[in-house]
Amino acid sequence: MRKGDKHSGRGQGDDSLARAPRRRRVAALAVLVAAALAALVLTRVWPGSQGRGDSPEWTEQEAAIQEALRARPFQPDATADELRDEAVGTVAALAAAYPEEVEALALAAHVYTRLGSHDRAAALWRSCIEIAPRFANAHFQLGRVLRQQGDLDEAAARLEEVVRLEPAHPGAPPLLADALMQLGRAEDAVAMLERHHEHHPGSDRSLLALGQAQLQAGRTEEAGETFAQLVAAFPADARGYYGLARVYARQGESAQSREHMEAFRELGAVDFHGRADEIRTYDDAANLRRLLGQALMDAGIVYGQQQDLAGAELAWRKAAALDAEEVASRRALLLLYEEQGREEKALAVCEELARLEPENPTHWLNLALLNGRLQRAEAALSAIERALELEPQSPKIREIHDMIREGM
Amino acid sequence: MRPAAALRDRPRGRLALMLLLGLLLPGRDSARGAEGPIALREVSEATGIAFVHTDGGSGARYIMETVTAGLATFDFDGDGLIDIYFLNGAPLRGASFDPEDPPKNRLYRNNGDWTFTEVTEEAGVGDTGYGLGVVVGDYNNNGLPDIFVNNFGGYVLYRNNGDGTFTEVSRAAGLVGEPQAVGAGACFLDADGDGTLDLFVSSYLDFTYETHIHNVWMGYHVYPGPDHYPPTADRFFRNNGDGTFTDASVESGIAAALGRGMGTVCADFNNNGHTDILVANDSSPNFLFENDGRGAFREVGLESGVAFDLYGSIHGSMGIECGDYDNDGWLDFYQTSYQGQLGVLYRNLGGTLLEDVTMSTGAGAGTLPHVTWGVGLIDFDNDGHRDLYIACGHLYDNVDLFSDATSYRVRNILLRNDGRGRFLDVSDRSGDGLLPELSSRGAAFDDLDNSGRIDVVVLNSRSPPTVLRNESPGGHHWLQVELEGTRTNRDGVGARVTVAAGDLVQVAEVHAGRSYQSHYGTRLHFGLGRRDHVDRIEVRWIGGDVEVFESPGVDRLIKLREGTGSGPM
Repeated sequence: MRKGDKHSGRGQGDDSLARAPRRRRVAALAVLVAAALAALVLTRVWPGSQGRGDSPEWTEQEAAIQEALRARPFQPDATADELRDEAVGTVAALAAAYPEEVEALALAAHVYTRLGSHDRAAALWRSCIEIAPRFANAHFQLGRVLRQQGDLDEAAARLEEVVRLEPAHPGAPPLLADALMQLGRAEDAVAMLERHHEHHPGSDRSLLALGQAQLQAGRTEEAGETFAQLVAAFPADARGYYGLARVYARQGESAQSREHMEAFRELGAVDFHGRADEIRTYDDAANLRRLLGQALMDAGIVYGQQQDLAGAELAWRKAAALDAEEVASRRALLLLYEEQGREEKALAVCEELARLEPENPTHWLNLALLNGRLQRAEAALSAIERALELEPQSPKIREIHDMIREGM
Repeated sequence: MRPAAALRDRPRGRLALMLLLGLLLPGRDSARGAEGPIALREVSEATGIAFVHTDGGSGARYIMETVTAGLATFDFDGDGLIDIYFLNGAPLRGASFDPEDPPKNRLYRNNGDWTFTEVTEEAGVGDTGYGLGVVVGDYNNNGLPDIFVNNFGGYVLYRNNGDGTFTEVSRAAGLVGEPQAVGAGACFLDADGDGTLDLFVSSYLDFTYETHIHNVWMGYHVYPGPDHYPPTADRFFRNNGDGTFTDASVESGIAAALGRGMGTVCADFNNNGHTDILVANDSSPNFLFENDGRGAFREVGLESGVAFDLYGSIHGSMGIECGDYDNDGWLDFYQTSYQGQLGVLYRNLGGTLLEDVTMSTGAGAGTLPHVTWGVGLIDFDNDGHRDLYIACGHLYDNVDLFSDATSYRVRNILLRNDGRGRFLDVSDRSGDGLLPELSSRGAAFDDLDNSGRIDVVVLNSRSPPTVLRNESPGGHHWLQVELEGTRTNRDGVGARVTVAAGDLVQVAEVHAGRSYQSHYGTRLHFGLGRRDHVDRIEVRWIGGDVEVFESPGVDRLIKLREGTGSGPM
C-alpha cells in the first residue's frame, strides 16, 4: 500500500479527526465512552461468561503502571519543568511508535506548538500532509506555524489549500487574508473572502477580515458596507465599530468616526488592573499540568486505536493521576476495563466518577451494575436507588432496579 | 554555521585584520555582501569603541533589564562631527560589579576617521544610574547641546559648558524624578511657542524590589511583563526660561492618560504649527497628545487611529519614529512591536487619520517573529525615499529554550522603500552590516563621516554596540540642513523644512528624542537622487513664521539661521 493511501480518502466525509479540532475529538471520545457504557449496562447485570476479573495476567502491568505513577510529574508538587518534559516525552514516544499515523503526529505537533517548538511542529505537520494530503487541519496548522515564522508565501499556499479542501473552515479564510495582505495581495484577499462569505455567510471573523481587506485594497465604500453588516449582525463586537470609524475617518466624516471610535472604546475597554490581577494569578505549573493531561488523554486514544491497550491504560491512568477531578480519562478507563472484563478496576473508577459527578445518574447506574456483577447486592441496590432518586422517570433505571431487587 | 555566527566566533584580532584588508582591497568601495542599492558595512571593531552594555542583572530578572537602553548621536563639542553617547544599565539588587569601575554611560568623541575616543570622564557625563532613555536639546538656548537621561530611579540633566565638559544640574533645574519610576524615552519640544524647550518624559511603570514578580513560563524563569504592573502617567515639564523646569504634567493634560510609555517622538502630526506628542505604549493603547499651541494637550490616540493597529488590537509597542515615507507632505509614523505583532507603519491621511498601512506597504516584512525596538525612517541610498531600519532581539534571554520562532539574538532588518509605496526586505543583500545577530535596543542614525550618507549605531543589550558605515553606491545627491533659531528655540526643534528639487518635494522636522528611547538626526538629511540642484528650501519655524532660503548647491551641509531667509513666495 502506498504511504498516503490509508488516509488519502479522508477530508471528505470520514475524516472526523482531520476535520475536528483536538478538543472536539476528545469530547467525541467522551461521548463514545458514555454511549458505550450506556449500552453496556443494559445487557449485563450479573456476571457473564466472559468476565475475567482482575486475573494475574494484569498484575505485572499494574506494577509497571504503579511504578510509572510514582514518577515526579504525577506527584502533586510536580514542577513545571517536570510536567513539560513529561509532555514532550509522551508525544515523542507516540510519534516514534506510530510514525505513519497522522493522529499520533498531529498530537505531537500540537504539543510542540504549544511548547514553542515550531520547527518540530512544522516537520510533523508536513509528515501528516505527506501521509494524508487531504488532511485540511494539517495544512491549516502548518500555515499558522509558517506565518508565525514569517514564511508568508508558503503560509498562504497552505491556507489556500485548506480553503480548497474545506471551504467552510472557519479559521483559514481570515488567516489567509492576513497573509495575502502582508504579501501585498489585498485584492486577492478580498476576492477569496467574498467567495467565502457568499457560501458561508454569518461569520463575524470572515466579515471582519473582509472589511479589513477591502480597506487595504482601497475599497472604502465596500468596507463601510461590510463593517455595517458586521455591526448589525454582532452589535456587541467592538471590532466592527473600529472598522466603521476608520472608514468614516478616511471619508472625512470626523463626527461619525469619533462616534464609532467611542463605541469601540466602550465595548472594547480594557481593565488594566483586572488584567494585571489575572496575570499575577497565572499558574504556570497548572497550565502545563493541563497540557500534559490533554496530551495523555489524546495519546491514550491513539494507543487504543492502534490496539495497544496497555499503552492506552497507562496514558489514561497518568492523566487521571495528574488531576483528581478530571472525568474524561476516567470514563475512558471505565470503558477500557469493561472491555477487558476487569470489573474490580472498573468499579473503582466508577466510584471515582460518582464522587466527581454525584448528580449524574449514569454513574450510579453503572455502579449498581458493576456491584451486581461482583455479587455485591447491598451496594448494587444502594447505587440503583440513588440513580432512581436522580432520575425517577427512567424506565431503564427502574427496570434494572427491579432486576436487582428480584435477584437479591 | 550561519555567517554571523562564524563572524562572531573568529578571534577579534583576526577579524580586525580582515576588516583592514577589506578596506585596502582595490575596487571594494561598498560593504561586503552588498548586492543592492544600500550597503552597510560593519565597522564596530575598528572604531575603538570599547563600550559594552550591561543590563545590571543578577539572575533575578527584574523587568527594567529587558528595556535598557537608548543612545544619542549628536555633536557635543561643535567640531562638526557627530559623537555618540551610550546609556548603560547599573547593578540591580543581587548583582556584583567592580565598585572601582561600575557600569556607566559613555561618551565617544568622533575623530573624523572612523575612530572614536572615549571622553566620558573628561566630559563628566558618566552617570552610573540605570539608563533607559536619552534626549539631547539646548534647553538653555546657549547654542550648546545638553543631555537629559531618563533612568530607573530618577532623571539626570547635563548642562553643556561649551568646553567639552558638562555639569550635572538635575536638581537645580527641578528635574529629579521618582525613585520607583522606570523611565523610558524623552523628548524636548517647544510646546507653548515661547522659544524655550519643554520636556516630555515617558514613563514605563513603577517598580520596587518588593513588587517584583517571579514569572515562570512553560517551566522557565522569565522576565515579568508590563501587564504585571499597573499603567502610569507620563510627565511634562515646562521650561521656565531661567534654566529651571516646572512639573506641568497635570495642567498640561498629560497626566490624565495612563499607559506604559516606551519610545516617544514629538511631531506636528496635523501640520498646524504646534508640536504634538506620540508615545508608544507597551501593552496599552498608544497615545497621541494633540497640542493646542499653548502647551495644553488632549489625548487623541484613538480617534486619530494610532492607538491600535488596523484590527483594533493593542500592541506591545516599543519605539516610534517619524518621517514622510511617501513624500506627500504629511509626517508618517512607524511603531515597533512585540513578538507575534508586525511593526506598524501609520500613514498620515492629511492630519486627521493615521492609517495602519503596514500590510499594503510591506513595512512589517520580517518583523513578525521578533521583538522590535529602535527604528529609523532613513533614506540610506539617497534616492529621495525613506527606508526602514529596524532593530530586533527578544527580551527573554532564554527564549531559545521555549521558542524556536525567534531568539534573544537575531539579525536586524532593512527594508528599502521602492518609491512606489512598497518596502522590500533587503536585509540579505545590503552588506555585512546586517549580519550580526545580537539583541538590539536603541538605534541611532546620523552621518558620522560627513559623507552625505547616513550611518547607523545600535546599542545591543549585554553586548558591544554595532556601528555600520553606509557605503551605498549610486552617486545620488543629497543635502543636509542644520537650523539655528534666534527668536525660536536655538536648535529649531519642531521647525519644519521643505526641500524642493525638481519633481521631488520632501519635508522633515527637527526632532529631539525619537525612536526607541534615543536621540539622533538633529541635522536633517534629504536624499535627492539624480537631481543636482535644489530649487527651494522653506523653513516653518515654531510659531508659524515661514522663511525661504536659496540652496548654495547640493551634496553639502548648510546651516540656516532664523531671520536670514526671505518671506514666503
